[in-house]
This record gives sequence, C-alpha cells and structure tokens, in this order.
Amino acid sequence: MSTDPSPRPVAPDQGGFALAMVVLLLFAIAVAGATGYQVVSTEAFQAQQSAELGQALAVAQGGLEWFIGAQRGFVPDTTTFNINGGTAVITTRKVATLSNEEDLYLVRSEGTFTDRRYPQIPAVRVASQYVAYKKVPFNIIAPVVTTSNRVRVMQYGDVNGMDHAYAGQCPGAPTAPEAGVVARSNVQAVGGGVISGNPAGLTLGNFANVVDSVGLAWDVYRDPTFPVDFDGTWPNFASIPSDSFPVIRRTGNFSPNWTRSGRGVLIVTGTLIIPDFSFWYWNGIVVAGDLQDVGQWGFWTLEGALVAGQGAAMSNWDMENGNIDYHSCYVRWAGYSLAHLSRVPNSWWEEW
Amino acid sequence: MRRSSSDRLGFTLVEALVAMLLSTLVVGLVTSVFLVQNEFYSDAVKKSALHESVRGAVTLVSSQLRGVASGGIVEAEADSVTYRTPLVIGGVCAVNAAETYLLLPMNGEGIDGADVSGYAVQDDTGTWTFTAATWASLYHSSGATPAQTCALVGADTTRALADFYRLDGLGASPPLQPGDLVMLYREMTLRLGTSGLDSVSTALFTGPAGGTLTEFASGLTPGSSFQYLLPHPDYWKNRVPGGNKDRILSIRFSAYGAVPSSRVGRDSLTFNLTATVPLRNVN
Repeated sequence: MSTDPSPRPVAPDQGGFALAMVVLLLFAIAVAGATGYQVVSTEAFQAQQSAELGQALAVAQGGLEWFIGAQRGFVPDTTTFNINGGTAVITTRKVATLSNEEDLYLVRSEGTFTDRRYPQIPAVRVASQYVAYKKVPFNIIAPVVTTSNRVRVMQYGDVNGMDHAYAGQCPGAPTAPEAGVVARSNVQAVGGGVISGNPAGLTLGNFANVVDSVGLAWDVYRDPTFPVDFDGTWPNFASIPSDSFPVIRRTGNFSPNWTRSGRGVLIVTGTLIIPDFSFWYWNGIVVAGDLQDVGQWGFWTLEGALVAGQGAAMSNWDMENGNIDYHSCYVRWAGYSLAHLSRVPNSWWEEW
Repeated sequence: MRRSSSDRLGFTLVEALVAMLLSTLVVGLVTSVFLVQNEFYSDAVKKSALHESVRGAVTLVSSQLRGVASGGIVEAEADSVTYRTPLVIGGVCAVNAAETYLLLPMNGEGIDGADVSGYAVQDDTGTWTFTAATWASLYHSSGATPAQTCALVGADTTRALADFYRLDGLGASPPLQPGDLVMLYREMTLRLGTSGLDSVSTALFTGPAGGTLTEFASGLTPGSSFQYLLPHPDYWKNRVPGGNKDRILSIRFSAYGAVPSSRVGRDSLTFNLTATVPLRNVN
C-alpha cells in the first residue's frame, strides 16, 4: 500500500477542462456585450441622425429668417451663416421686376448640421421662400414732410419741390413735380421765404395722415437693433465708393456742422438742430424725430428730402434759412440703402 | 510487469463524476447567461426597431404636413389626413394670354409629372386656390426659351435655364400676372390602419390620395392618432369636417408604439412620440 503524500502528477492531456469552460464563458459574455453595444450604438446613431435632421431644418429655417429679417440694401447672390453649430447657405434668385419699387426674389436656405461623432454623414435640409424686395421702402411726396401743425419758410429759407435731378440721371426714378412742404394744418412762405412745388403747401389734416403718406418704418429705424451702416460713428466719405449712400444713425439730438456733410440716409432719433453758420450740406434723406427752428444764420443745404416727426406730432416749425431741394435720384439711391425683403405670405416649402 | 496504482493515468470514478458535475454546472451557467443575454439583445433589437419606426412615422408626418397651405387639407380624421403638399412653388415672370412663364426651382432636376396632382394660385391675401390637373395638361416647354422670356423682365437665369417653364392653361381669376405664385402640389394621404406585416399592430400608411397606400411604419398601437388645431374657441379636434378644414392651424400626430417583450412576464416595450406640426402656409 502506497503511503506517498506528494500530489499526483497530472498528465498533459488531463488539465484545462474547467479553464476551457471559463474561457468559453468569457467569450459568450464578450459576444453578448459586443452585440448589445452594437444594438445600442445603432439605436444611438439612428436617434442622432433623426435629431441632426431636425437640427439641419432648424438651421435652414434660422438662416432664412435671419437673412430676410436683417438684409438691407442690395440682395447678395449667396450668404453664409453659422447658426448653432450648423451652417446655412442662403442663395437668392431674382424672378421678376414687378415695378420700379419692387422685385420678386426666391430665397433658398440649405441648412447643414454635422455631428462631430459622424462627420462623414452631415444632415442637410432645404427650405425656400419667396420674398418681395422693396427697393424704396417709403413714399416721399415732398422735399419737406413734417407732422408740424404749421410750417413757415421765412427770410432766406427756400424749399423747392421741383426735381433737381437732371434728365436721365437715374432712369425709372419717380419724377417731379412734388409738393413743396407737407404739414398737418398750415404751410406758409413769409417774409422772403420761398416754397416751390405743386402744390407749394400740402396739409393733410392730422398726424396719422402725414405718417401714412410716407409709409416709413420710423419705429424700426430708430430701434437700436435695426442694423445701419454707421451707428454713432461717421463715415469717411472720401474712402467709400462714390455711389454708396450709407445709412447713418445718430441717437438723440444731432447738431451737424460742415464736417458732417455727405450723402445717404441720416436718421436722427432726437431733434435735428441746424446751428448758425453750420454750412452743412446733405445729399439724400434726413429722417428726424423732431426739428428745431432754423435761424436766419443757419446756412445749410439739403438735396433730397427731409422727413420729421414720424413718431410724435410736432408743434410748429420755422425755417429762416437754408435750401431744401427735392432730388429724385438722391431720394432713390438713399432709399436703396434701406431696401429690405418682405416675405410673400404662405410661400414657404421644403425640399425633400 | 504490473505498474503501481500511483503511476496509472486516467480518472477515478469520483474524479469523473466531479468533472461531469462541474462541467454541467458551467455549461448550465453559460447557457443561462447566454439565454438572458439573448433576451436582452432581442429586446434591444425590438426596441431599436420600434424607436426607428415611431421616429420615422413622426418625421414623415412632420415633413409632409409642414408646408401645407390653407385650403390644402382635404380630409381631416382621427386616423387619416389627406392633404395637398407643395411639390414646388413657382414665381410667375411673364404672362401672355394662356401662356405662363415661370421659375419652378427644382435645381435643374425637372419635375416628375406623376407627382403632380394639380396646381394652386395665390391671391392677394395669400390664400391658395387649388385646381386638379395633370402635368401633361399644363406643361408646354422648359429651358432656354422660357428662360429668355423671363430674362426680359429681369429674371436671373444664370445656371438655371432648366428651371424656367412655360405652362399653358393655368386658370386664375383675376388672370395671372408677373409676381404671382403658382404651386404645383401633390395630393397625399396618411392613414393609420392594421399592419399588413403584423395583424395585431397598427401601421402608418402613406401614398397618393385615392391610390395604393404603402405601409411605412408598423408597431404602432390603435391609440395613435391625428388631431387638429382650430382657432379659438375650438382648439384641438379629433376630426374636422366640412369647410372648417381651411381653418386648421396645426396638426398633432401622436405615435404610440408597443411590441411584446422577449422576456417572459415582462410588460411590452413602448415608445411614444408626439409632434405638433404648425402649417406654415396658413394665414
């Protein structure tokens, strides 16, 4: 009888059965885990794709809204916006010229949204919309349009509603004659002052009628969020193209001197004050919240038009010096700078 | 010569029994784990398919209905909606008697006549008037000649010659003029019904109105439905009969999905999604 206490030697073909089973078990768990991960990641991918398509549409729509809302002046062929991690490429196409004041455009927005995890599969959605391009977004019926109860042009003051643009200077522009001065109740040329026009003085009875006759979006223009070319700053007219009529906004009262001469659309949210001996001249449109009387030494010249008191009815306004001459081309070119897009209702669709 | 017992290779009976017992336990454990994993996997696959189905249904409904204009809802029921969705909206650039020259922006891809159910013309208030017509009855020509006509009135035809068309016989009162808009629409139906793949579940079918509908998404439950938002004081309605259809502002689609779980005794797998789709072209 053997009494050897040492372990019995294991033959090479005897070991490893349990180990093989453990390996098998681990393999089964790994396979199950991998397939589970595959399912979950596929589901995540599908959900992500769906969310990306929604994002892409939101980007396309956001770009469309942004472009239509913010575009001023000439309509560019292509514009790109980066919105919330996506890109909206806006393309425009003119469909027809409807009148001297209005064109029909198609605006197409292609929104692309790419998830960083799947950059090779960007989601793309396209939305389109028709818009009217309002080239001259107001109606100037006289070189001076105010909501003043009474306007008096006195002494050296001269307002002329006859068009100072020469023939062919800007084909298609509205033609003179225009009225001279528009007010609520009373227009007078006294003590040497001159008003020329047809009629020289036009009274529209009340504030609303004067405002409606112009159709100018004063509340929009005076809003600080309304985009202008120069807000509180002043352009160097020598360095900008000679045919550009920039939009300049001065918040509060503004008292220009000759160094502030130039062209374009000047928006004064407060009162326009013409000081004595200013020798200020302006080609284009001046839109002011109110006007201070111009004294007999207030030398100044405006070729274009002056619109004032669109936000609240003015009292009386006297102009003892200065020249205001209607100029259809300057009015038109200044108007182009405020040209904007207006959506044609119910003309949106999505490519799919 | 006889070898001693300590030198002999092989198993004793006890060893064999223990090995068999252990291997049975291990195999049982592996099988159990595998079966459980398989059920989880099966549920995950089912749930994934359900999510895809429900999400696809909601996406389809949203994209189809979003561009519908007032007057574009033909039928508004709890289980179906028939609508006229814009295929493309064209801008008229010139009109010569019955000839209408317009831009139909299709990126040069042309228009599949089979998609066109008719056309609609917009009036000054932005309201569309729909007329059933075939593309063959409207189409005259496209390309350079219509583009040339449009270019005369200022249309930008650069790299878009193929998108300019001459259509004939577009009836409108008052007659069309430059700047008017013309919509080519397709009339489609979305319907909830018994799935052809799984008779106990509901599916979303889509296709041309009056034609054969195709099953698009299955795995829904009968609780899925359409609802319609009307202006105050009506609010949400399950169905909108008659002329009130033109007053619909939004359509809500509730997709409720459910599939049986692979795991015994477990509740069904569910996934619900609701989308409210404002009709963008409604006044």
